[in-house]
Amino acid sequence: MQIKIEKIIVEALVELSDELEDESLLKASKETRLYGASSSLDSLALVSLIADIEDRISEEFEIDIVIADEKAMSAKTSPFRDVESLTNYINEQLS
Amino acid sequence: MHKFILKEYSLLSDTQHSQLLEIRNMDYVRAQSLSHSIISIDEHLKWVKGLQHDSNRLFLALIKDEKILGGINLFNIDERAKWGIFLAESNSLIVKSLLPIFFIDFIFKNYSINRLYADIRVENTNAISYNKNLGFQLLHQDSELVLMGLEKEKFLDAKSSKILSRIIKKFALYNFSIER
Repeated sequence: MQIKIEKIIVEALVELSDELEDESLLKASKETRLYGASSSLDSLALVSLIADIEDRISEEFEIDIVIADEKAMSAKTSPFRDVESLTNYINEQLS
Repeated sequence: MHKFILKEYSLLSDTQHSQLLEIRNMDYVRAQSLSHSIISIDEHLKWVKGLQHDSNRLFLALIKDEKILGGINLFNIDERAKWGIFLAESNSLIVKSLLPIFFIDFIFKNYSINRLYADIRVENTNAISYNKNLGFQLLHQDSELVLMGLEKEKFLDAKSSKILSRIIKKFALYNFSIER
């Protein structure tokens, strides 16, 4: 399941790269930073990405999931630091 | 449903003014503001008095559960209308994303403004990118500031973009209202 989740996140990033015209996201991997100083995503782009991932996860696993909730989005140790942390977070939510 | 109120500065209590100023004077806010100076409560309250009969400016505090979370504003309305925002770090990314969309929508619907501007510090790349995603375009840049502009039609187009339309769906869970 973890591999599927990571694949979904990377696919969403590739689509976002087209919308943002940001080629750096085309080579997204588990180390790709999603938010913070080393990321190319601003807060709007990140929220949009998360909302897209929610829809894709729902479609893939046939389960409604809310990742962009107040708790996650305000967390001091953000689950959205990078692709790997987001993958782990979603995996925990689905388990 | 998460409910947020945007309240005119002139309607805030003294305690709320202190909370607002505390956020405004935070290092991370001042670093991104056009003015880096710390504002005293006396200076702030004197300045707020000047807002009361000034139709050229609109300054609103963001409030949830009685707590001040930041401020959003529109000024220079009669000439080159500009907007600005500052929020406490504790605000979620969803609020930081939804609030500008709500506010800019409100501006274009309630004021005879066809173009909205923003002055942003050149080093604030996050804000520049953020405004671009709202539809703003770069108009001018010098060593310190970037001037960006957003036409009403461009904002409507941006709202239809994949990036913003995914975020706009979140309004189903978040409610913003204005108290004037």
